[in-house]
Amino acid sequence: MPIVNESLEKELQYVSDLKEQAHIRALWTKADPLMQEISVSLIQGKNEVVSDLTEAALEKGFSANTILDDGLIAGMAIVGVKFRDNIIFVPEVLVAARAMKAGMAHIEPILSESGIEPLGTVIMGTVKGDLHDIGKNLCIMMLRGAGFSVIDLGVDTSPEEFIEAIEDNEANVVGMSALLTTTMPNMGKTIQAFEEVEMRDIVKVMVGGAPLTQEFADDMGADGYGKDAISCVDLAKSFYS
Amino acid sequence: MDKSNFNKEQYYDSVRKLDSIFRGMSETINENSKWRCPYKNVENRCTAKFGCRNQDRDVNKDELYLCTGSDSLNYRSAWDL
Repeated sequence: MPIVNESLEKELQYVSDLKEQAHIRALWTKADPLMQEISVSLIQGKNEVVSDLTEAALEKGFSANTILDDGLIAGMAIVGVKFRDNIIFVPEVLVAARAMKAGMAHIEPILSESGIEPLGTVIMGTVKGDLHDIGKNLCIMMLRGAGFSVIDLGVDTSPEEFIEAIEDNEANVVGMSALLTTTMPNMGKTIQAFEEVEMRDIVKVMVGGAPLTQEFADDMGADGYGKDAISCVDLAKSFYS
Repeated sequence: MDKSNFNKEQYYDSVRKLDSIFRGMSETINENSKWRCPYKNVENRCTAKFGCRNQDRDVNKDELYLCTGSDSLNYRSAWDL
C-alpha cells in the first residue's frame, strides 16, 4: 500500500539520509492509511486528533500492537529524526509526546486487561520556588515511554504536595527537579519533610537539574542523582527492580 | 473493539523501540542544550513559563513571546524568576 497521506509524504522529505528515508518509507507503505494519519497527527502534535483516531482505530478492530507500532511509534521515530537534524527543537518534541500520551490513554486499558502493569509509579515535580520545567518534562516523557506511570505535579511544588501525591498514588519513587541554585536547597527541605511524616523509608528520591551534582545530591540525602533524562529512567528502574 | 488480539511480546518490543528513540533524543538534548535554549521553539518563540531578558513581549495577545537570544551565547544568565 503506498503512502496515501500527503502530509506524511512531506514529513518523509525531512529525512535527509536517503537510506533512512527508504527504510521508513518501506515501513509506512505496509501501514494502513489510518495508521499513517495517526503518525502524521502525532508528528504535528495534534493531541486531540491522535486521541480520536486511536479510539476510532480500536473500534474498527485494529490491534493495540498495530496502533502502537505503525501509528504512534512510527510517528515518534520521525520526530526523533527531525529533532536529531535540528529541524524541530525540544518544545516540538514535547508537543509530540503529549499527542503520544493522548493516544496511549486508549491503549493503556488494554495493557492493563492483558496483565501488563506499569513498571511503577513515579511522582515528578519541580521544587518550590522554581518554574523551570523542561528537564522534568523530558524525564516524564522518557519515563512514560519506558513503561512507568507518572504523576506530574508541575512546577513550584511544595513538600506538602509531594507528600499528598505519594499517599494518593501509593508511589515509591519521587523525582525532584531544580534549575536555580537558590531553589536547590528546597530539595533537601522536601526530603526533610518526608522524614517528618515518617515517609522517608517508603520512598526513593531522585534529583536532577543543571546546577546539581552527585555530591550535592548525597549531601541532601537523595537516593540518586540523574544527570540527564536517560539517568532518570535508569534510576527509576533500579529503584523498582 | 477486539482486545483479544493483543500480543504481549510484540508490546515489549515496542517499548524497547520507543526507549531507543527517546535515548537517541536524550543525546541530542544534551548536545543542543549547549547552544540553544530548550524553551525556544522552532519559530523562535519562547515557551517558558517564567521571565527571561531575551523575551520580546511586543507580540499580539495569545502569541508566545519572541526569543531574541543569540544561539552563540550562554542563555541561562538571562533567565529571571
